[in-house]
Amino acid sequence: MKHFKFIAIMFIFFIGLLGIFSTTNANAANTNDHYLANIKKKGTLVMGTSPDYPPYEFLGNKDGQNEIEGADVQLGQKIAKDMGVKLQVKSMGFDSLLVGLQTNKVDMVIAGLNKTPQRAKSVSFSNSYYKSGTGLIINKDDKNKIKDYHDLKGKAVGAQVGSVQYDSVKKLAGVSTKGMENANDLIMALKSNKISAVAMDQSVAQAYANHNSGIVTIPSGLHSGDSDNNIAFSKGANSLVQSANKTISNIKKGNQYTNKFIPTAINEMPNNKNQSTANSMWQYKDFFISGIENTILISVISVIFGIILGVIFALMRLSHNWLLHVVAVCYIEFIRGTPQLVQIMFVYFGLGAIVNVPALTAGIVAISINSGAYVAEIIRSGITSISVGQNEAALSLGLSSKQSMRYIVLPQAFKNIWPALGNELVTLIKDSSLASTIGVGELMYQMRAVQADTYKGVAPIAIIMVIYFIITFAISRMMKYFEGKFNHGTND
Amino acid sequence: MEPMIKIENLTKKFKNNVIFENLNAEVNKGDVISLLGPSGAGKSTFLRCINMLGEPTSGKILLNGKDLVSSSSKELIQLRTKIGMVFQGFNLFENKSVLDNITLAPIKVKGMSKEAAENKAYELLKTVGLDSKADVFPASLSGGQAQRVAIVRALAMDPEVILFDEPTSALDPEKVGEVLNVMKELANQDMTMIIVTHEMEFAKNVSDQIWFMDEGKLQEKQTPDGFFNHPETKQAKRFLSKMI
Ligand SMILES: Nc1ncnc2c1ncn2[C@@H]1O[C@H](COP(=O)(O)OP(=O)(O)OP(=O)(O)O)[C@@H](O)[C@H]1O
Ligand SMILES: [Mg+2]
Repeated sequence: MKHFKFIAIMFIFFIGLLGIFSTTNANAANTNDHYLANIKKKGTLVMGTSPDYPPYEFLGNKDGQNEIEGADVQLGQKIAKDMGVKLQVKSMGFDSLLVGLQTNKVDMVIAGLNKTPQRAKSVSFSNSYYKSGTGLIINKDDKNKIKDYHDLKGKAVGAQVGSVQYDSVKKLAGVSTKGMENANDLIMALKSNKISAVAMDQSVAQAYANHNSGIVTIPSGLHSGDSDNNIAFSKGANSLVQSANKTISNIKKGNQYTNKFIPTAINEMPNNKNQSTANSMWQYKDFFISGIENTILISVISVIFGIILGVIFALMRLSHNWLLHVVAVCYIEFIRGTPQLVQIMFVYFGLGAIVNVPALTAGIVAISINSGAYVAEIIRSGITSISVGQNEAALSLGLSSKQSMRYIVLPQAFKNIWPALGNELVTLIKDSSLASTIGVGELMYQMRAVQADTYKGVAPIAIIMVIYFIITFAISRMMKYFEGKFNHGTND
Repeated sequence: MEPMIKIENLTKKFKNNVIFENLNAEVNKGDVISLLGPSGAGKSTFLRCINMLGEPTSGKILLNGKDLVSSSSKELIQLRTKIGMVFQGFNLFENKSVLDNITLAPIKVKGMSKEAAENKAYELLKTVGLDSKADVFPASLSGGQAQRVAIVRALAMDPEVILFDEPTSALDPEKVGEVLNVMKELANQDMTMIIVTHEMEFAKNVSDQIWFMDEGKLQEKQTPDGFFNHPETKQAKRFLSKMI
């Protein structure tokens, strides 16, 4: 009977989750075309992009502020201007962009995006604003060995996951494709000879080659990936598509995208080729500082909520009330049985479709909920480690169960689990880096930004590694210090 | 005189395992009762029913006419303050100093001021010779000291009756005396007590009544003299023959 009830509750729980998904989809599909009118009413057009793709989009450093710039941003500005509204640029991982569109996090996506039949099923595309081709980046030393794609046979070739180039390379016989999320990682892999070539958009390839010594770009000779860059809108947002098409045809008259936007963007890009690494990293100290601030902010808030949730759910799980117990078991097992990265994306995109939350809030919520499940188990083990005699003595004196828990059991439990809680805190700080996927400006995210800006792959990684270590080391020392204090209390 | 504690048809089962059935007994104010019986007879289970640490399966436990079994949890807290308990394993709060162990319940349950509670604690500690240990933590006490503190902790609530579950069984033999002396002193002051013990000499000399429990029943309720010199049931005879 108990098992049956348990399964029933689990079932309802999952149905609930599915329900959230399906309403999300229904929202996206059913809306009539009030898109343009709505945006004019709002006064802002939100553009989503993944700023790791210079010169189309990248993080620039404007008056010490982190700002998304690039040819696509200039295009976005033009479109917003023609609509008579302001442009707001939102950053997220490339893979998340179209989801962002479907969940109304953004109104349009301009991200060097190519129109594919697959994508056209879920979003509406504008006309082409730029024709891109595939370029290859190779090490200078291979210049004589690799002339075009025919020479790639038997070699490993890298491309950005989800890009058109990735698909083209994948179709080549005898070539092994290495997909990576981030363009900088690909360049690093190339420089360390993990791969022999990187296939990417030719303008992007050119920008990387210009900023890195030791690598060059060549035309790939691949034309399967030649395609048009288009702007993506929500499926059925025809009024927006029309408005954008008008702007695009104006721009095309003077070939403005190629002749003006890209050169402007390349000019805006910080040129660090001739600077020492240390020097260029120092210029980006504000990036790292704001990363540290956000990482600590996420960690501190999440740890507080994590402990509150942990206590609540540990007590619920230990409760004799059947319903409380089952709810707690579902929560704990479900959270511990699913990847945190997925949870973060679910909170931002899934729940975010119902209540609109900023990425930072979504990140904190997801990480708190995740931490709560782990802390609950730690606290539960702490509580069960206290001998029942302690509780019985308290009850026999007339204390209520609550008072006994509060004054006798929990203080002892916390003392016992203190080291485990310290570990959890350190884990939480490290895992907060996952929030970078939804565009939260913590350390990992800032590292990506610095990489994209400076074309230096390894130095930013080393820097944030040291920063993470300093933070976590300081935390463990602090926990040790307080642990010593506890023990002092009982031993003297 | 109306008895202080009246036990009516008390039954306790763990699942289908009957520990005892239909117990009836009375305790008058000032009585010292020793509860004897072989290991596993259900003495601890019985004692724990009296302050509802273990819930009986059926029956009544009346304290001054008020039934604990059917009380709400609020009323139960009120009734428990009148029933002290001393455990075999002391169960002093490990996260609290000796003084805080004693004052916690008077402050939190009875709403006593900290100062009054502490004065009382010092006074009681003095009577068991432990006032110098007020600020130490339980981990650093010897077993005999810990059990005396536990008795003081129960006394600080001014209980009407104190339940003892083998208070000296966990002690080194040379420490048993110091705890028994404290209990003897309480008996002299007419404290009502129910004591589960294997200390036959103590039971013989200090108690007013012996309850003998075996095979799920209170086989005998007798004076010490009657029980030890003229046991009536074969269970009691067997028990006593093993003791000597
Ligand atoms: N929580 C429990 N669940 C199931 N059975 C129990 C539980 N507690 C006690 N028992 C059983 O009840 C019976 C009586 O146990 P109890 O501890 O009351 O005996 P006792 O007379 O105090 O023995 P001792 O002199 O060894 O302390 C034993 O058979 C024991 O196994
Ligand atoms: Mg026992």
